[in-house]
Order: sequence, then C-alpha cells, then structure tokens
Amino acid sequence: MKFILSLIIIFILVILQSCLYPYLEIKDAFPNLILIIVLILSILRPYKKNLVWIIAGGFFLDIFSFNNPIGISILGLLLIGYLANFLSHTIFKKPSIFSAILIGIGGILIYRFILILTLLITGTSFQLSFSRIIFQFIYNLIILAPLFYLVKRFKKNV
Amino acid sequence: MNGMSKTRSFLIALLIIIGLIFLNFPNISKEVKNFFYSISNPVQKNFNQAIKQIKTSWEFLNSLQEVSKKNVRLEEKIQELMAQNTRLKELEKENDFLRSYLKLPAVPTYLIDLANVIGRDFQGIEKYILIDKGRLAGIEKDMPVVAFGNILVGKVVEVLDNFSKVLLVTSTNSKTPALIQESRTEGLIEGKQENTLSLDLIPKDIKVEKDQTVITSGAEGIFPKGLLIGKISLVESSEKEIFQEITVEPVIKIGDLERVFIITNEGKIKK
Repeated sequence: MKFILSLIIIFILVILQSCLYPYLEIKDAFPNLILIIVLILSILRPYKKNLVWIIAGGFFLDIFSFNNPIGISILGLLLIGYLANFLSHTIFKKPSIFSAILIGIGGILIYRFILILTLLITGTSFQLSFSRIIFQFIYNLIILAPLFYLVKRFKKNV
Repeated sequence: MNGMSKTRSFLIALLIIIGLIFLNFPNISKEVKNFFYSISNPVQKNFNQAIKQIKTSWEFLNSLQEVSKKNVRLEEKIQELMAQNTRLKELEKENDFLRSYLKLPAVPTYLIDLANVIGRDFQGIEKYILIDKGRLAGIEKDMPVVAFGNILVGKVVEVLDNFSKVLLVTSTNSKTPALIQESRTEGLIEGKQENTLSLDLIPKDIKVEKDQTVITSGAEGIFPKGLLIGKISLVESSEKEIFQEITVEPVIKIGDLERVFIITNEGKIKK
C-alpha cells in the first residue's frame, strides 16, 4: 500500500512540476522537486528505503522530460542518493540544514553534469549556459533548505 | 543468507538495467511514453486549469487599479485593429482581383488541426511542448505548429500514436529562415537562452531598427511564409563581426500556450 502511495505521489509531483514550470521559471531555471526530495530522503533515511523514490522518480522524470533516454535520471539519482547517504553518515555527525546544503550543492551539480554528458553522448546539439546552471543551482538550494527542515521536523514528530 | 541477499540484489539490478535498455528501443519507448501521457493527460488538464485560475485571480487582484485604464487602452486598440482589418480585407479583395486578372497562381492556403498543449519540458536543456494529437490524427514529423494569429510556435519533431512533441522556435536547437517584414531582408532566426531569439546573417550595411517585425521567409520549405515570429528588441554592431547582432523578442509565451494549430497540408483554411 505504501509502495503504491509513493508511486502516485511521485507521479503527481512530476506532473505538477511540468504544469508549474512556465509560471515559476527564472532565467530558464526551475527547481527539480524529485531531485530535491531524493537528496533529503537520502540524508535522513537508509539508502535502500529510498529506492522507490529514486527508480520511480527517475523513470517519470525521463518520461516527462521528452528528450532524455529512459534511465538517465534513474542513474543520476542512484548515484546522488548513494553519495548523499554516504557523506551524511561519514563526514557529518548529524543531519542538519548546513550538511543538507553542502550535500545538495554536490548532488545538484553532479545531476546536471550527468544530463549534459547524456546530450554529448547522444550527439544532441545544445548551448551550454552557465547562467542557467547557476540559477537552477540556486533555485534548487532555496527550495531544498526549508523543505529539508520541514521533512526533518515531520520525521522527528512521527 | 548474506550471499543470497547479495545475489538477489544483483539480479534485481541486472533486471532493471535490462528493462531500461529494452525500454529505450524506439518502438517500445514510444508505446511506453504514449501510455503514460494518456494517463497523465486528464491530470495535467485539471492542474493546468487550476493553475490558470489562480494566476488569473492573482493578476486581477494586482491590477485592480489599472483595470479601468487598461480597458480604455484595449478599446482604443480594438478600434484601431478593426480599422486596420477593414483596410486589409479591401487590400485582399484587390489582391485577388489583380491575381486573377494577371493570371498569377493562387496564394496557397493550409489545412490546420487544433491541438491542446498538455505538457512542457522542464528538465531538458532544449524547449519542447507536448500536444494531444499524434499519428492517429494524421500528424507527421516536421509539420509546422502555430498559435492563434499565425504566430510561429515551432515544429513537430516526434510523433507518438496520440501525442506529438513540438520543438519550440525559442529552443537553441531551432533554426528558422526569416525576414524583416519592413525591409524584406532575409536572415536566420535561432533560439537563445532565456526565451529570446537572435536574427543572424544580416549584413552591417542593412539598416535595422528596433520594433521591426520578423516573419518566416518560407525559404527551404520548412515553414510557410508570413508566420509572425517576433519584434526586434536590440541591434548591436561590432567591428570584429561580419553580421549585426540582432535580438528578437518572440511573440510566443510558453506559459500562455493552451491550444495550438498544426499545419497539416495545403488546402482550404478551416475557420
């Protein structure tokens, strides 16, 4: 039941992201909700518990991104999820907003790098815009920090 | 036990990888995408409607002070456009008469098909929209897509059974032969970052002014001639460059796109 509920939530979040994009985008940048949630969950929970979010989230991201080969986002999220979980349990004693932001910085950059690498490998031409990457990066961090705080509080109270 | 658990994890991982490779075969990937777009279509429609309602209410609240002034401006604009429309209709009749008198070939008209925009690419580096017409509705790759008012939106780049992917004119991968309406100078429109366009291949000796209109030139048969693209917003000239650097503000706004028209074939325009 929990598994099906997670799938539905992930599906709706991806669609919501697609619908909100034109209204909330700044300089072509928009936060990736699935990426942010995977990062947060990977910091707060054991890695294996997040696999549904990683696999289903990555799958739906690729389906609704129109251009990605199916599986690229899964690969990216698997890598980021693992690294986030590893770093949060080895370098930082306790998960905090500070550790979430630092891990988030690395995670967001790695994810973007994987997408760009995919385009290069598939031979798709594109213009690399550093301003867009930076805005996307900042936008994702702005959403990640308060969301991390809320999820952590919610987890603590539950 | 530990060994069995590791073997099980390995087998699951292997199955997932094989499954993903399988899903990326073109025919299978199209079927999978078509299936999920069909499921998400009603959900997206409801979300889009709800978001639009919120946006309209918000804009209305913000613009209360401006509403009556805006109404006056809009009424004046309507009158101006009505007068212009009347003059254009007269010119059209005169044009038709002269064409038949001089035995010139008729101006081609086009069959169009209406489609709803049901999705926008938010993750990729390029700009796409998803529309709810596909192969079963007779849509084919490279068909031009326009918005109401003959405004160029883009072209169909991928066709599924019930949906099609449209590459927007503002995408950095998009190149459109165009011309400046006032001077008839031909150039090439390319998408740039942040939803702007650049008009390339305009020599420095050609006078280009701000607010001039850019339309499709019809060259290379990619898009019909005369589709509105945008207005020139910035003109720069550098000694090092052969051509002028012209920025064009597109008329099309992705967020406002709800319905588009696909030009399917030559024929009578449906009204």
